Amino acid sequence: MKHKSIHEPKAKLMSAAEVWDDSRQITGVLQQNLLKAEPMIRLQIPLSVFLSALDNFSRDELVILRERVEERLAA
Amino acid sequence: MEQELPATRLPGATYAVSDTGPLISVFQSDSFSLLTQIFGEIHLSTVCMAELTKHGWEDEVQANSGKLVILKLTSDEELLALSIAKEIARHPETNDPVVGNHLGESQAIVLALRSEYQDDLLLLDELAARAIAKQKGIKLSGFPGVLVLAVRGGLISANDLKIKLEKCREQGTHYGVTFIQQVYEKAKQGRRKK
Repeated sequence: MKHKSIHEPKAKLMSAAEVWDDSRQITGVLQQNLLKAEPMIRLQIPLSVFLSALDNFSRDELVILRERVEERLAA
Repeated sequence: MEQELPATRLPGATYAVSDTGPLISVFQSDSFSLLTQIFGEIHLSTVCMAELTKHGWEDEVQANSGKLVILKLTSDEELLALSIAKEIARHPETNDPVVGNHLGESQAIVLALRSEYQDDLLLLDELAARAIAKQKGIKLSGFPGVLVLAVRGGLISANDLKIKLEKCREQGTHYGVTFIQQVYEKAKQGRRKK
């Protein structure tokens, strides 16, 4: 079996308090990146602008929108 | 073994640029699949790859090559890395003044400074290098921070975290007994709050 060793065994490492900050930092980065993957539309715009924006929606986005509209109409 | 950076990444994916130390901890504790549940890919420099080979971890790198991308720095980046290695060697938090021993950390820092990684994370455990990376505005975490995140996200238990850190310590990584206990306690508290 190949001998395995570690790198810089005497190096000073982070404290336990920093570990907690690290995990919060990762959470923030992961959340930001996931949010960026969401399709974005702006609210508080004239209705005509919204309607013309529909022309640029993909099929998947239109299906999501239709489901939401049908839910609202059925309520 | 060097690979080209893929042209596109999956929407919402976060990549990690890793230094040698955290990856060794990942291999020591059989945590590579856990790491890839959090990060889309792990990228490392050729110097870090050489260090992994020197320390006997080449087989683990090969076994996980689908998610591990090895990147060569440009000559300008290598010069920058050398200057950062000198900064680390002079830093009050280091106990190793040999510049060449800090090239892995400094190359990881230089990779993380590339614009394509501005929304990604650097994995770095060593205190002096972390201080310098933070000064440069890089978002980073050590390997224990990844484990705490995994506990908070329900991927592993606090007990799993403790076992993994102890495995690293048993194999020579400098995570002290008190440090492991403190991280374990914090992870347990964080999990309970969810």
